[in-house]
Amino acid sequence: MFALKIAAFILWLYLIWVLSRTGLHFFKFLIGSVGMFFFLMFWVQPIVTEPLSMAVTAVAGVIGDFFQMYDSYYQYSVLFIPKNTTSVSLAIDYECSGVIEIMAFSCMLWFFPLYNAVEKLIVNCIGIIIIFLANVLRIFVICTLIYFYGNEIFYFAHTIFGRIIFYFISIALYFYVFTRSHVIRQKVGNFSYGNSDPVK
Amino acid sequence: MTKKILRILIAFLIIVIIPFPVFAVNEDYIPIQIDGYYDDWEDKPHTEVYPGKNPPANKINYVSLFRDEDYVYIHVIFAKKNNQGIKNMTIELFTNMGDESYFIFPDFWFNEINLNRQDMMPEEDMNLIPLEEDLNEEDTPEITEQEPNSSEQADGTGNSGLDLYSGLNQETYLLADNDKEKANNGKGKIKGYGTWSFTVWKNFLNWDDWDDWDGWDNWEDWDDWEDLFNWDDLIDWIDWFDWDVWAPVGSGYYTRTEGEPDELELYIPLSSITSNYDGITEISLKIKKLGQQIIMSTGVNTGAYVGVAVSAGIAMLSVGAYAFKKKQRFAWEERKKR
Repeated sequence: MFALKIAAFILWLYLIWVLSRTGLHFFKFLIGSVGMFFFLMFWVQPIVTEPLSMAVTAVAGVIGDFFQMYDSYYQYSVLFIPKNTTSVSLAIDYECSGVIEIMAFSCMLWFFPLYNAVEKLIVNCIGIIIIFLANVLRIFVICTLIYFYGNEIFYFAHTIFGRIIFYFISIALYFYVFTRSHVIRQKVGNFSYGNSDPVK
Repeated sequence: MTKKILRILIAFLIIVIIPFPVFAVNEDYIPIQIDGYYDDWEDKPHTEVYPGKNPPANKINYVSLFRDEDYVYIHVIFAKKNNQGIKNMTIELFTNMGDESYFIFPDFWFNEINLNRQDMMPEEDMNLIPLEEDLNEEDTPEITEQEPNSSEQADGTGNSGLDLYSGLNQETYLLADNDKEKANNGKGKIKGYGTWSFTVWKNFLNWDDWDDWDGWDNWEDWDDWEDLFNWDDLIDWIDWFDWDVWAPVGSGYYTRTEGEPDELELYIPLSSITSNYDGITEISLKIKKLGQQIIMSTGVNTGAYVGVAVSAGIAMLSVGAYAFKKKQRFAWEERKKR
């Protein structure tokens, strides 16, 4: 399986090189970002998920401590919400860590034909921080809803409400990083009126 | 100037990003081990569990629930007064993949009546030896092995049970309801100081549908005893004989130390709830004996389809809002032209 992954990786690199040489930017973006996402998921995701989960738990726990609503056990990636007759241990796992969203954003950014390398590095770092904080906000909102309304609201809070918050922030991020910047920087070429000489 | 700002920004971001994994990884991480030592529970959240409302501090139990991919781990620090011991202790687990109840029986209780795979049979009188009340004589309970009563073993009901067990050839034991009551009726009481192991048992018959058993209509079919080794028929047969079928699924330790509250830790495999235990995302624990409080462990996969639905909803709303705004603007421009 490892050999297959290596072979796929080499093939992917070759495809990127060919697409760069032929100037097929759209296909380079498509194959490059999707391929990079898969390889990051294969090799990087298992390494970063646990530290990222812990980091999300730790930062969300700071807010919880501040409002005295829940406690953070970041070494186990668990947020503990004690509430009258029910205590909820919320495990921040692979799905909650935001690792998928971070990788998807990074992969698209690095193959998006807009920024230079330094700009991409900066935008990527800022994007990671924004996604991370959006995730922390999502977790905080989920915990707050559980704290006030009990574990009955967990499914709605986690599956729907938390996601909506996270997606809105993500859409705003994508708009500013990709859409808005692309519109502002797009080259429309030299503009001339050709043979339309003024009527004498 | 711009380059200087960029450099400072890059340096700042690197400083911020890189330490995240570093501070988050705790080198002292201790996985839970069910070994009769409770130090691995010290840094884990405990929930106050108590009967009634506003109990005094010495009547509050502390319960912790943890899980990993394969097991549920439970730790109980008993109240200094009230409900100590595991008598009548039922552990109820509610999950998104089904619910289960478990009983705890101390291992020495089984040792006393010499129960094992062959002779773990219900008997009228098990001649259990109660453990010594006098704590000064023994720090650990005296375990006296009793030979099973041969006349009772020859009992027809008991032999049937033995046959059943042999035929099934799996880790399944039969325990009559009256024996369960016996176990809970003081025989399983822990006395003295020390640490004892116990076994977590699961009753894997659903007694709710006892009355719905359709086997009553096919009673004649039961003449052939070989039919008993068909699993479905076997379950029906056990039901009919009013037996409980118990399987040992987990184990744990109970510790009583002088001057300290009793403690207990145990594990239960998630496979005892369902064979597809990968799908268990929510687990709630209730131990009625200790109190009505529920401890819930949750927060994993909630289904990608919901995420897709939410995304589609946001996209459709955005498109709708954009179209509406565009239409309004177009109408406004039209009016302006006129």
